[in-house]
Amino acid sequence: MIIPIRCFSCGKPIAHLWKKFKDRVEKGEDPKKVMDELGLDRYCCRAIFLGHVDLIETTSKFKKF
Amino acid sequence: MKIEKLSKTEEKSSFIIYGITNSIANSIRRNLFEIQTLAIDSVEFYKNDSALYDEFIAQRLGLIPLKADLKTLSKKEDCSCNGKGCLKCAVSLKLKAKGPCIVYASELKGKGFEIIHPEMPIVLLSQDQELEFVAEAKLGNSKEHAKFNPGLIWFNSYPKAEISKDCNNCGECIKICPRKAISNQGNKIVIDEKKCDLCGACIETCNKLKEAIKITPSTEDFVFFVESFGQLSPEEIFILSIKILDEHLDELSKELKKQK
Repeated sequence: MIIPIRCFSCGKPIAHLWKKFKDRVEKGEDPKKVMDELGLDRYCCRAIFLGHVDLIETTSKFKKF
Repeated sequence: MKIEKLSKTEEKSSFIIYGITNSIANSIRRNLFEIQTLAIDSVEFYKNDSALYDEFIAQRLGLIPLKADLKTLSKKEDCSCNGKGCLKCAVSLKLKAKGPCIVYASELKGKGFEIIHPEMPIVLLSQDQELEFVAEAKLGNSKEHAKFNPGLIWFNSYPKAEISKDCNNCGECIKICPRKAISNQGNKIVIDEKKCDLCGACIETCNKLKEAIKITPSTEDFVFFVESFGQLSPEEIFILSIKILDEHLDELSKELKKQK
């Protein structure tokens, strides 16, 4: 949906890193290198970044109000 | 007791403490959960047209790390206002936004706090969607809720490595070590204890051949790692943790004296 504010397992704040990560990976950088440089050391935080899909833009189109 | 610094950055620091016991090291670690930090605790929504439910946004708001002046702010339960929430114990915030936009944490308005990561997205608003709420932040510790957690502390025993005379310099242990802690210096196998993480791979390979390596975890020396989530520096977290442990012990000894 939208990137979680903190990592589910360790509690490290991660939401502010998502845009940097996305921009750099879209430019063609290796996700491993980007995550290392952003300071995501543990595999719990890394899993969130690798598995995340931004669906909120799609979902908000179907919102009735 | 002696302290040796290993590494230090703004959000992470590690050091070795020589000459303490496991129980003291562990009680310092556990007292991290008593450290007070500021976090949003209640949210009142006036308008929320976004794709996320009120509860979802409230939960996201709570998790945003906030920095506060801990000296002037007091705990809501101990405040002179009897837990109602006054200027001394609560911080009020508000936010108003209209789409299309991404609402960032930097748009939270209020006094007496600082947003550590202003570029955190709270929610996405599409055309004509609106978001408006007021919120109240209070002090708390992470025993109450994980959103108050100021960071992480963990430790492991410092390894004590010994290589006996049986060693024939075969070099198998150098190949197997995942941390590259073992090297051959002047025809002698040397283990860098600071790099070793006690995985035991070298002992396993050596036992098949010579049984020359012996690595044991120390019971007196510990390697500490302190990681901060931004509200306090790693050093402050460690010192506050010790301070709170000290206060608890003082309280206990006072109660014990009363019993006599």
